[in-house]
Amino acid sequence: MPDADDPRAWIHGDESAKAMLARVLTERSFVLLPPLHRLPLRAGNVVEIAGPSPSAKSQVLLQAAVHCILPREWRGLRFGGLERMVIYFDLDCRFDVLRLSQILKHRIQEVLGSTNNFGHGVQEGSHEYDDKVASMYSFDDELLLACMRRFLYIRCYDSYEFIAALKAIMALNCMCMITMHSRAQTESEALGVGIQFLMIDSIGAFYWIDRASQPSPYGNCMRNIMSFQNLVETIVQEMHKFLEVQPLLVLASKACIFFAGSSTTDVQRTPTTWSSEDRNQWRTSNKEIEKLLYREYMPSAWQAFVTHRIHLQVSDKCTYDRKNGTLPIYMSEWVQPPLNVKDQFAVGDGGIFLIT
Amino acid sequence: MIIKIQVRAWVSPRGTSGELRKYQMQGRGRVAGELERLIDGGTPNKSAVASQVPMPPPRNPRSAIHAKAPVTEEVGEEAVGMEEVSVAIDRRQPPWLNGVELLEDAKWNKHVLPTGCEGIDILLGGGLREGQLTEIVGPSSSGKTQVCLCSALGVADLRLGVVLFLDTCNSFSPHRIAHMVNSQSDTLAKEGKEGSLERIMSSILCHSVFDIFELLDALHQLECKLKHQVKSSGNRIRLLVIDSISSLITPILGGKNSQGRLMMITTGILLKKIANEYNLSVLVTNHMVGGEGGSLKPALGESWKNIPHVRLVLSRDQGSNVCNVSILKHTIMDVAHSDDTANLIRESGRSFGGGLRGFSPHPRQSPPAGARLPSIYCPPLSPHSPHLGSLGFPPPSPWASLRRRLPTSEWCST
Repeated sequence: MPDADDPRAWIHGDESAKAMLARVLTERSFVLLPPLHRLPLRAGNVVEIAGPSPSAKSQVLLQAAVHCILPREWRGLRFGGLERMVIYFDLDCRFDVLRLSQILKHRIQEVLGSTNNFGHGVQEGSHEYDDKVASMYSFDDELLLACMRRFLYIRCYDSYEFIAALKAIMALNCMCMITMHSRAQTESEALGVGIQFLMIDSIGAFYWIDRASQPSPYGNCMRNIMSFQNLVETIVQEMHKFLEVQPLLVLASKACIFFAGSSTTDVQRTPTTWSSEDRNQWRTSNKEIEKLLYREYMPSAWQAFVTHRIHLQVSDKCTYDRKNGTLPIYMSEWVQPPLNVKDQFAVGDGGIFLIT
Repeated sequence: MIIKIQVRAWVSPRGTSGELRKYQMQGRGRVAGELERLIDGGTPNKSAVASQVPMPPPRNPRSAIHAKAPVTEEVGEEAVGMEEVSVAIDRRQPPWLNGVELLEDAKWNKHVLPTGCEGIDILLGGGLREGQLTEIVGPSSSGKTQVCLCSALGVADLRLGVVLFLDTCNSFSPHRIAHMVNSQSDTLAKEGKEGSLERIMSSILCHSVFDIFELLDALHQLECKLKHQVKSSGNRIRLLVIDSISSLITPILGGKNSQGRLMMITTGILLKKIANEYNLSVLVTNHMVGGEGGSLKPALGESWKNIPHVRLVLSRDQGSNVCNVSILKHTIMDVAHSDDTANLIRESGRSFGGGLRGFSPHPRQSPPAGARLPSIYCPPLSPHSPHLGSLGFPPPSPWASLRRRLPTSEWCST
């Protein structure tokens, strides 16, 4: 009930647009994740990373996960991470925890190595050096474990398990936000931090299974038909509900499961004795092949849910690095919103690095 | 929509108290009893890390998702399912696994099984990893079955456990395995070749399947058996080999009918589930088909590419007994870059114990004359052919003895 003596108080509003923008920008700040760095992404965006099989989609997800779980600052060293939690839904069941810890260790050692360069005065073989090395290793392990605690992993073998896991996560999250009652130490400190990223490895993993599932022929008509469309609609509904309560950045990888006549790498690998006319023909058919390759198979509910799309593919060029050896080059291109720029990156031991 | 969920009876290895409590659960399945047992069995896990006792399997977080819901015909089925899920949540069992728990699981439960072929072992950083599905692709008579037999022999010989060999094209040959055993130069004197042969043969279970439905049936039976077996390291199944899974799937793939791909993906997911939950390693073989421009590509299409963790490509030069192997896909290691269609397969060599990355030499460089990159099982064609050790290869491991000296005729017969 507004004050009786100031009936115009309700016109004044809660906050100005400037204040609101400042608040929203701090709450949902932009992140730049290579190789998705062309567009700043924030919580509430849903990014779909599509590509045929050997195109480093899972590596992109792992890179983003590492960036999220690293702390901003740890004992004086600046790591530049987001220090938030990541939930990783592994629908493909191909996640390798050793790869994640490998990337993490490399990132930690990069930062440690660059600061240790300033400690020249210590000689090898002396006590101080041994102590320093030992403390570095224990530092490594502690930091690694602290980061890994922020990584939550769920494996689903079925669309139904995926939906059940989404509901369970949402309920847990709501409960944690509403009542901060005592839980196990690690979980409370983990959940207290707040989830920032939600990753789905291969949203189309159960496409063929769900597409072929028949509606149940018997039973009353109150049971919904369990078609692929309905399942995906339910998934999208659950995720919407989750995003309302907790704003997240959703990164989903999608495999291209249709073979497009000839794959792009095969086309580019043709011999070089072609005339220019043939080259023009070849270029147009290349575009058609790409359209066939990235053909959409997810239903419209998912397509409407996605706000950004990026296409990845492997090129036939490779780069030679002294540290990493010969690595194939991958290309990325933003499709929604369409930017006519193709970025190039390679995947090394320490994760993804861009090639300019 | 109904969420169909069922009880998972997780048998605790710690003793019979878990069993008793399991049987005390009501017929409809009370969530509380199951989760209490999980919690009691779950807390000592973290303290068992430092002890010498092998760690019990980590808690199964999917029990929180799977809670038996009473069967009702009401409209509010979804609400009932949600209630059950929140009961499970109240018992403080989150459905996720922490990164730290994943690392512990990888360290204690997911070991590496040597394949017995030195080159492949070195390429893979030790061998086949438990919990992963490894696929070997190659044209016919490039050595895929030999690798399968060699891996089965290796696991059985080391007394690591039992090998289950699902044979779809009658390629399993006990004579071949006996031949491999007999050609080992350094068998234990006390055991004798007879004894070791019998022990090895009794650890390899061979089962013929000729149909995708038979395969799924066998896998479901295996899953049931694994769920109820008492965990003892002696008779545990460690390796599952399916020789030529592609010969079961290729007849049903193709055309507008998507049932074939459905069966293929179902089989793949089931294999990965068995591998991960029961700590097996799964090895499957695939053949090659013609692709664009006359090059060969692996069969089973695009959807299959997302199923295996590791894909290896075998090839054999015409007329030689030497096979080349390279990595097509791996979760950690680098992909060997393929040059043009003629050299589709390239050997990869890397030093053992170096980083986890393996890489092939730059495609423009040709290997220096006189030095060959190491390859897998190169039986000497003549007594004067170079031994593997003289190529600057790391010192032979105990597996070097498993390299076979095989007469050419027997090679070609498989």
